[in-house]
Amino acid sequence: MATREAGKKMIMLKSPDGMEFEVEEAVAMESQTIRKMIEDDCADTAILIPNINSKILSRVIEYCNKHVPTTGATGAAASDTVAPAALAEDLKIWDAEFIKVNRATRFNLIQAASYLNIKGLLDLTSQTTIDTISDNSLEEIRSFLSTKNDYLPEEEQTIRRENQWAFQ
Amino acid sequence: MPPGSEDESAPLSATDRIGALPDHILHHLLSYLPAQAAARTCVLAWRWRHLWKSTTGLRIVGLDDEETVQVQDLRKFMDHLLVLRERTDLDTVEIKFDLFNHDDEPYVNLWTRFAVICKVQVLTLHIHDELEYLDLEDLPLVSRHLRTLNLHGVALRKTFVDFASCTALANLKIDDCFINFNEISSCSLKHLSITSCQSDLDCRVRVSAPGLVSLELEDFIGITPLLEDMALLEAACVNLSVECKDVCLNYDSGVFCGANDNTCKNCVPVSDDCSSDCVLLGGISSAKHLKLISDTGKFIFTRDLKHCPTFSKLKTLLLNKYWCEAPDLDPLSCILTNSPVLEKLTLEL
Repeated sequence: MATREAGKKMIMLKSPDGMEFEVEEAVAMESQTIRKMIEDDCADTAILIPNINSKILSRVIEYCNKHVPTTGATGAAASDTVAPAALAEDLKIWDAEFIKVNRATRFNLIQAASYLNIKGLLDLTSQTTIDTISDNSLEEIRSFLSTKNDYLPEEEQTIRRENQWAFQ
Repeated sequence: MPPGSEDESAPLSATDRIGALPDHILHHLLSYLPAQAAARTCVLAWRWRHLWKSTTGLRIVGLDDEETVQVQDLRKFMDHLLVLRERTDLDTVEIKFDLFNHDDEPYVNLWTRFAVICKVQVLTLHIHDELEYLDLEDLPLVSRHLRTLNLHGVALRKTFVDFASCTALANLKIDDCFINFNEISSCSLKHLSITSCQSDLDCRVRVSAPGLVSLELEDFIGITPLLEDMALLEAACVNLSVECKDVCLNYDSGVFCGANDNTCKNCVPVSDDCSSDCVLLGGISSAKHLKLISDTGKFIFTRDLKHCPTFSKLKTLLLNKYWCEAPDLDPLSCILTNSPVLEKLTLEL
């Protein structure tokens, strides 16, 4: 495991397209999946993150960097001068900027957040995705999900009857 | 997850992707829809037939944000939903209504209990009825999973707010609620916010949360609550508004009793808080950041200053004009004298 500066363990993350990212262990551990690997001592060399390309992985790391709890020397200094409420507000604004991405990137971020098990990022991406639906009508949700209806007409009738209570 | 996600630029293929997401992500995504909209996805396609049954959250709210939602409108729907959904855990539950009748109360209480049984971690209960508070049953809340509880527009009683059996509860927000208890206690609580709440009790509500990191107590209508020691506190904002009942009866005649305790009958300490010298300042004296605001004529802060604690960690302090105007003693200089490491003082005049 690479180390840099006193007390700061570094972890190497590798994307399938061959890019390497050196991040602080604390930052990497924002991902519960990576945390488990580190705790199980599977992280001696670089960790390969499958299915997440370098562009998405770098954004995920950017998110984790921002959200890692500020503890230790620098963190304590920061919280001395700024009240926690202000920090939380700052983070919210940062999140809103961070998630201003196109739909494709957002879906990739959802997948990455799910695979890496980063609760905050999964919540942020899911919420933003659903927020783009404006009136919650079935038609809108269908087009939003671009789901093809593969029910036979009589099957759909049965399902509708079965769940009539949800359509009243 | 599909392999080869390098090509994610084309927006069209991206829309197809939402269906390609694994079930557990779709369960999560559906949780952000109102429960009715989530249930209706059953007719989309075979894949979606049962997905709504295992959402990781429930939003028991109106389908349309703009329209007034009554509890009654969703009772039948909820009866079906609760019986037909899978018994999977719920991370988040939001119950939000604008109107209710008295016979709706058992339903909302039942849904709340259902959420707790399903190991809810974040529970939000938001009742917007302008006429009445919804009465929450005074049953103990027992959960090892509940982390965040947000309450708005409900009436709370003694047993409910004894959070001894909620060992993970860290965040509690009580806004515009009716306070019908004389003590609120939790050892696990980190962030507490009590805003615009109302109590008509003639004793002080004790706030016992020794592990608190941040506190917000604003616009309390009634006798100011008593804060017990919060040794780990980082930041607190206390704002005593015009509705605070701790008013000096002599204030208008220009002889604010303030710290002298015994001049008017209001300024004499209420007998049940004799055990503590301070009502507010003692509990929050460990904070690094304080915002202390009071309407004129309220005696709590000035009386607390008579037993002024040392604010040994206080770095930033914000005060309003109350601190410069109170005639009895010089509260501003008193608090500054007792804040040895203060770095920044803000006066909002």
